[in-house]
Amino acid sequence: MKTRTPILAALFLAVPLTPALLRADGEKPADAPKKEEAKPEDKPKPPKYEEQKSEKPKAAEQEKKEEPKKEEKKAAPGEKPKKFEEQKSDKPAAAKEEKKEESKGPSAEEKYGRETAEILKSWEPAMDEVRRATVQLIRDKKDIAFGCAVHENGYILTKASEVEDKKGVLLTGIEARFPDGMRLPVKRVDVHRQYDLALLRVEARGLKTMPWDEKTVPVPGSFIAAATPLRLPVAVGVVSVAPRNLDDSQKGYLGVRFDEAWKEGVKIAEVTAGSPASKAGFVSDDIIKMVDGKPVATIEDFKSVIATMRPYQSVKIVVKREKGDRELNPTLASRPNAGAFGEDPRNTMSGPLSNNRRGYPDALQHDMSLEPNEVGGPIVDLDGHVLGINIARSGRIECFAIPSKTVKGLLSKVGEGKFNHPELEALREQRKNAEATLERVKKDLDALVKRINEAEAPIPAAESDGDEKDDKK
Amino acid sequence: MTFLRLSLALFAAFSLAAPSLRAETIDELKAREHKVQEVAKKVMPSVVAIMSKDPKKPGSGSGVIVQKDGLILTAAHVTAATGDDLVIVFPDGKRASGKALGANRGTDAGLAKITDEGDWPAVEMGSSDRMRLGDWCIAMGHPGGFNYERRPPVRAGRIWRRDSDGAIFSSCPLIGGDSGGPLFDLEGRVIGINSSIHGNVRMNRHVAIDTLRDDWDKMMKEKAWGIQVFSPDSGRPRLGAEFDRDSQEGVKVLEVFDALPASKAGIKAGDVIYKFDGADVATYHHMQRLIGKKKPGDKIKVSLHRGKENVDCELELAKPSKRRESKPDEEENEKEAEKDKGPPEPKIPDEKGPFPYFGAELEDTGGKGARVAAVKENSPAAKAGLVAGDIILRLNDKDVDGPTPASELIRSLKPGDKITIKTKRGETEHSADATLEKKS
Repeated sequence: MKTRTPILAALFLAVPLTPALLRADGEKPADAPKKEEAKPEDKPKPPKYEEQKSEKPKAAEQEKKEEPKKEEKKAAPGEKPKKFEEQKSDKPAAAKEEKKEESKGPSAEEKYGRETAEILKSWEPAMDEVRRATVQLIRDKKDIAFGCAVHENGYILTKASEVEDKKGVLLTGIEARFPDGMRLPVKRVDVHRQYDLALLRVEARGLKTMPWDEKTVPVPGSFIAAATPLRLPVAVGVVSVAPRNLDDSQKGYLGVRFDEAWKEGVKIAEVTAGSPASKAGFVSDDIIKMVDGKPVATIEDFKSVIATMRPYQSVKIVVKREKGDRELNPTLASRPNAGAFGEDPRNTMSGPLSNNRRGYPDALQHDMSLEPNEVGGPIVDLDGHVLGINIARSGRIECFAIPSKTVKGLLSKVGEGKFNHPELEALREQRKNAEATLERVKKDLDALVKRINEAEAPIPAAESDGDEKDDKK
Repeated sequence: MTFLRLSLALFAAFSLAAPSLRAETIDELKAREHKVQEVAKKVMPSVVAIMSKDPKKPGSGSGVIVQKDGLILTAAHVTAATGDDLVIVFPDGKRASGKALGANRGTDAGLAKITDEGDWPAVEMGSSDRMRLGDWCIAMGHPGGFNYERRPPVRAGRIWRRDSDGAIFSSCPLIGGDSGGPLFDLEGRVIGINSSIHGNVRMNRHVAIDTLRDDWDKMMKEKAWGIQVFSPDSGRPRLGAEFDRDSQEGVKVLEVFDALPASKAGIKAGDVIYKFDGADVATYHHMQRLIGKKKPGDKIKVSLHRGKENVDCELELAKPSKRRESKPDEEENEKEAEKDKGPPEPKIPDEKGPFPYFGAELEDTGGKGARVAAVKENSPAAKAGLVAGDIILRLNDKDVDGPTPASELIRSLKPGDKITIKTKRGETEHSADATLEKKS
């Protein structure tokens, strides 16, 4: 496929749908060659990132102001943390606007951009409440992520992999900067790996907490902004896709590819070797009629049913063959997670992506162009409702945010300094299925061992030697 | 032809507020949000994925249905990749058979048609000529190919650039698979077709719908023609005047240059052109498309309003100037075009570039230096004796503070450059030289 024209270096958008992408349940083959994961830190930083450096003097200024406060704290270590008092920041506006004024006349690209100073300014009223519960996480004078204050006793929620090294160890020297400029060092108290969330703690009381809104249902096209501790958002965009499950490992996997051109139902084009489908006896040209007693009409019907089933679950599937209908009973496997394989390399050409950017069991997709160090903060609608927390920049066109309802579920034990794990229920169910499967396999194994032992058992002395040799063949 | 009548009717119905360059109120934003939500809902069923019937051609693009009989707008390079026999997949997973019609590879506009009988969900076509820089728009498609777990993702942005080859650039981010998908105005009318992208996330090219319309009859009758060359400067004949590019009710003349066709024909600043070469024109971009079909030396009849008067005149088109009358946004376009020709390589992973190749994967040590995670066979790093587990302490006598500064340092050198590496293996320190190679 051509990826570039000779003249404009324009990149065409036709994606080569590799067989992997066409595979039946939408999953990638398990044995797919692993592509090297893109490493954002090896790539040149996009201009946006550079621009942020120009904010340094401002940060340094704030730092100076805060110095006495910090010393006060150190001087009285035994004392209870001070009540955190919200101060109104009267700073004119966020950095982006200032930058704009500095530049010499905007280009058309800037003037008619999605995030002009005017547009960001338009969002100011919606930011008013939420920004007070948003913090900037900094390390070594660099912004590393945003965070959400989630409990008045100093707990802060952010994206785990942005505050950790590759081995999951908390980076040293991280501080949280609050809307009033107060800076406090953070400790890490818990991590939720599946959602890539970290629960941090600062020594403070009376934090204003994030007003998660569970009621507003974000629909595609809803306007949203990424709030910061400052008055203006760092980015704005729209909801692209309603919340969905991105965790393929929890979805059932059969291992067939369908005939895309077949319109009269669901016809198997190819059965993946070694997959649950091949073990259960599916063959090409089987037409799937029923799943667990329910008729299926389209490929998508079928895929949806299988995807909502759990790995290790057994399912009854009726297929139509020339000789008549047959019932097959495959035991589903776990769908291999996509990983970096199959990712369009053009995703990284417009700037770095988050290292951890997939597999969240509940995530809303939006179209902001966030830098990896701009996630961890809240997304807000025009009414100032907090719809979720930004968790990853995942592609050229997409960011993911964890919806407020799910965040609240994860935070139901935040007062104890730990995450709740509502997903364990599903995992336990999966384990039960796996154990049942194991039990069946054990029985099969026992039977096999028995047969082999019988075959190899020494023959009673009375029998002749010649017969034994023939038997072995 | 029905589509032309339709477009004329739309012209009359158009009324757009000027693009806002001031902060808006939350209510104004909500009004726009409402439109985007409504459009997303309304057009969703018409945004289809296009695949080849031939499993050996595994490409996938997008398209949008614009007639109830199943006529689809798409990009020329989509049907070039899929071949003629198509599978059309609707957002809900329903499938239909289709075939490719004609396509102009030069503009990247293409048509396809559902061949099954049916009353297919169609959207209206709008007018790209009417769109102005700063206007909001909505892009859709099936990025990454059809995915039954999500509907076509909605992206919103603004038009910020137009090229004379009929391309619109928007800040609606696109990616592979979006090709051929629609760009809508806030009323849900198709104004462009997703075509290509550049490194800058705002550089999303769409074929303007009126450019596609120019080739309508030919596309309905013929197969694909032309070659894939996008050039923002197609060297159109010259009029020698500057116009209001946002004109909606006739093309307003802002300035007339001496000794060029417009001034020779007696056209004056303030005139409003309403007829050009026999066609009614309301917008600057429409007139530009008409000029694009002419040659220098062609004589054109022009009718214009001057105050309350109607004036007819004739002008003879001049050769395009080498450097056209440069106006701010054209200059920008040129600058941008130059940029495009420059090396966007660092951001494109599969790109061959003049980058130095070292051949070691580095990782964080949690402290000083950078740990070698892996060494490629026969690479400069391997030749210098590096093995996985070594910790690089210094490069060219500079302390290495983590994998990123190390890669940056290497990246700042050229293929052929020597680099001195000081490493630690266990408790012993080593020093070695490596010669960087060309990345292949």
